[in-house]
Amino acid sequence: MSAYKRYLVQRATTYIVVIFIALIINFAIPRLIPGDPIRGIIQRMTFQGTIVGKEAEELVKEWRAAFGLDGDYLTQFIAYLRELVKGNMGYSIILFPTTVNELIARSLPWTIGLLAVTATTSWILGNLIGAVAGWKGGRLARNLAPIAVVLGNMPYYLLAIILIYFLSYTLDLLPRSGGFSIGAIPSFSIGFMMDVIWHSILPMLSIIVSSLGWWFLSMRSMMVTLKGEDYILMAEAKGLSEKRIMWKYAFRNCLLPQVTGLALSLGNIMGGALIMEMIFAYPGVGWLLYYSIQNLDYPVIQGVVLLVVFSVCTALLFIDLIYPLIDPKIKYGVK
Amino acid sequence: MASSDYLLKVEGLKAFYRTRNSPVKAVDDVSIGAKKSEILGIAGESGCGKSTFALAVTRLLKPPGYIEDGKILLNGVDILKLSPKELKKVRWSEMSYIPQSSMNALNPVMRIEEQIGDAIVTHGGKMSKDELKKRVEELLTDVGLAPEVARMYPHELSGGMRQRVIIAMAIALNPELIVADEPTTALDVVVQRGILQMLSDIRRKFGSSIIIITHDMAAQAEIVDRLAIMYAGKIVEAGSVGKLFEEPLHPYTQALTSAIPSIKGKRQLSGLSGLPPDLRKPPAGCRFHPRCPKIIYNKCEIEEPELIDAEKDRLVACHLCG
Amino acid sequence: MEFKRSSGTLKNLLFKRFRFLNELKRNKRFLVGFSMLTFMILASTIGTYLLPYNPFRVGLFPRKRPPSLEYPLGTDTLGRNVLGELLLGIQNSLQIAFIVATIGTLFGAVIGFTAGYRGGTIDAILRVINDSFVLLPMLPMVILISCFTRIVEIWMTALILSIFAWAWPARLVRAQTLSLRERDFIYMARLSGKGSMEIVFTELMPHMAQFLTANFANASLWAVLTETGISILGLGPQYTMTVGMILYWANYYSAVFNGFWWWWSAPLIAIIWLLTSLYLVHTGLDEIINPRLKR
Repeated sequence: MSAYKRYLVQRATTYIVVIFIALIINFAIPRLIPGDPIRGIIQRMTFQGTIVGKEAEELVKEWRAAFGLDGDYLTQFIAYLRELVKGNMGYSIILFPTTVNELIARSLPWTIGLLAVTATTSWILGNLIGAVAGWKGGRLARNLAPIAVVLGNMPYYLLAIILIYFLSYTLDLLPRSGGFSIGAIPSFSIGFMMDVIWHSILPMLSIIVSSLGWWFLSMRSMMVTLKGEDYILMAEAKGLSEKRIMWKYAFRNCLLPQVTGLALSLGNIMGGALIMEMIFAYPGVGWLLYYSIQNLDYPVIQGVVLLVVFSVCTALLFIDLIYPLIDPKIKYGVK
Repeated sequence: MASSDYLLKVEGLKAFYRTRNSPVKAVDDVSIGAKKSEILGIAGESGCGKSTFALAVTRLLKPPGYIEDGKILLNGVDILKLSPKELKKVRWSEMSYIPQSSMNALNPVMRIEEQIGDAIVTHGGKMSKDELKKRVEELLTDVGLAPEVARMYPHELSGGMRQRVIIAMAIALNPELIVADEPTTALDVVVQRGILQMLSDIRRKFGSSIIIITHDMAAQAEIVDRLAIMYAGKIVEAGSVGKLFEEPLHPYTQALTSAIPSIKGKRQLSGLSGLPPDLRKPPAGCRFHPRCPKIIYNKCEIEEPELIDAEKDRLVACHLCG
Repeated sequence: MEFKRSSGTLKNLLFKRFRFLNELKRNKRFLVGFSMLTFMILASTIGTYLLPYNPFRVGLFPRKRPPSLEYPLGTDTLGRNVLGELLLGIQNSLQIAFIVATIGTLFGAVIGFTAGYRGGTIDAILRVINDSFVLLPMLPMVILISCFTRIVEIWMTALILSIFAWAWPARLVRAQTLSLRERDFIYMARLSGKGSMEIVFTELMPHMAQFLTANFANASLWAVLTETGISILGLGPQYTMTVGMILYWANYYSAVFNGFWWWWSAPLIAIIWLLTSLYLVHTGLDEIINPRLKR
């Protein structure tokens, strides 16, 4: 097996294990609570007034059959997996009869938008600025460093609170929460789009500013270390332009570990985005999770958690697929 | 010593390293020249300043190193006074550099052909992609490598192959001067011979001058025309290699040349006692005097000997020789 | 192989320890971070000891007062003294952080060391498990667990965090073990006839000890970060006060938009202080272990 294939197999195995662990935890936790999980859910629904009496009994029967609760744990687990593969994650307790799928489908685009924009922007910007700072050095770079340290170590939500306070409360510049103004009707019109963008500035800003710090620092220190490498000296001896040396020789080499870093921090980034949504009541998956936690809407919670784990693993696998294309050492193996 | 003979003329070069206390005087007032198409060797112990000399001459010396004084005339032009733009033009096309350790001298994420190619392209080669490809393959064949190497990455090559690639890079623009800093030290003996042979061939085929810097006296003896011996930042003797080995004048040269084992005779291997001096505070007078077996008391430790012509084309700095 | 404990090796160990302490004293980053941290620890411990009231109890003070001489950090909506809250909160947060960091570093060290030193199949298995925990998005998992089991006490939070805390240290320790194992001084020690146990103790341990200390600092940093995050979401220990919990209540009662700036800014500054100090300690230790990092 070539080095590339072997590498892929190892990574894929890890992700399968991760998903499996998540599934087990997802499956096991509700069942650790004394009592029948389904009955517990039905009870709550009845308490909420969502359904009553005979409907409840029928629902219980239906669910029991679907989730195989009549069998032992193994049968239940298989049934659980079977339903999952079918895409059936159950119904939301609070918003019955909306399925979990529907709720997630509604919230997902918001989260993806937020994540995609912020993660890539902060990574790209942080790396670029860090590279220039590391290469050129100078007083500006050295002064930026402590700021970056504080910002990078501060979790998103803290920065968000500060930003909310100054930009929203004090200056009333940006909206405090929501994906769009209250009462606005979602559509693809320009007006609505502008509204969405306006509302997303604060959350995105918080995430970008605090993640930037981390990428800036790591790229900068790597560039500084790399500057002393022999091949940089050779590049200079060859009379190459400084621009070419900085980007083609130094930056290219620093990029690889940064890609790995991005992959490793995906879990964190995801978590951070979720918290941000909660703070800003941004209608994404994170906010859905928060709302479900408050109301103990178990099926939704389980569904979201699984989704998050699954998507992080997929993203990581994707990065692992791409990585060898960038790093020649892995693709062709080391002699 | 007609100046026109000399491709490179170093005059009074002083290259130091800044430290918290006094600077390290790695190259202290060195004057030497390399003629056209000549292989000049610079020999000496570790720490005598020869690597610093190589970096200074090619203007690749980095902080905390700095050039305090002196002139480096390449074809009559003092390269120390060139602007960065003019210097870049001189680089590689007139003067190239082969570094000490080939292990890290190649960019790990670029293919060989790209690394060799960008030097060519930067210096104004308006070549088509095919022409460039051909040129790179030509260079690789010149150094004894298969043309397929062009598409490879550095980590796919062995140490000897990497060194050859670097030499191929160094000759890419047919520079008049090549400065090689310990080109064979990190390699095994068999490969060493090949590299030395290659350097000799390059001089023959392209007429470049080569400055070879190494502490390996046997290597020097093999291919060098003229040899300069450095000690503690100064040149103590210089001359044609044959004469130097046959009749070394300076006691240090005598010690160096006698340190090579001979297959023929049962010659006693002798070494020098003591260690090279601390270049922040070199000894007063002749820097070699603490270790010199032929020291003249009351002279050598007080007065520093000047580098003078002992005979035709032979420089020596010793009180024993006039 | 006998385990020979000659006076030479003991002296060696002590010498290395001594030199390490010397280095510590000279490193600026570490000193700044360490003093910041010590200040926090002292302030919170002494502070909570001296407090004549229980900061957790509701309604002991007049509500919503801004900072003044009488209430240095003001009071909150629930009638609690913010200064008292903060002191207790810092103490509890640090407690959690250090417990989690200790468990995480120790457990991670054992796993990482075993994987690195033994190699082979054991390494492969441990590595897959390790990577899984590193990659497993911790937040959703913790949310899930804490939804079904209401977290009320400090030790519960500490327990949950510990489940995930060992992953990164194990990874780092493994990498370090691998690199140390191949270093020349191990070969030298073997050549000079030392047994493998002796090598582990005299050569590897001093390195590892320093490394683990840096790891501990890092793990503490992570623990504070994560605990605060969880608490803000409402999944923190409900019956106790941590800095994260203060922020949670502040958020719950919309402190930002009601203008109670003292309620959220004090814990915020405290967190930044803690995080920065731990970060400095960690990077300071890193610099000492890896002098190449010094600029």
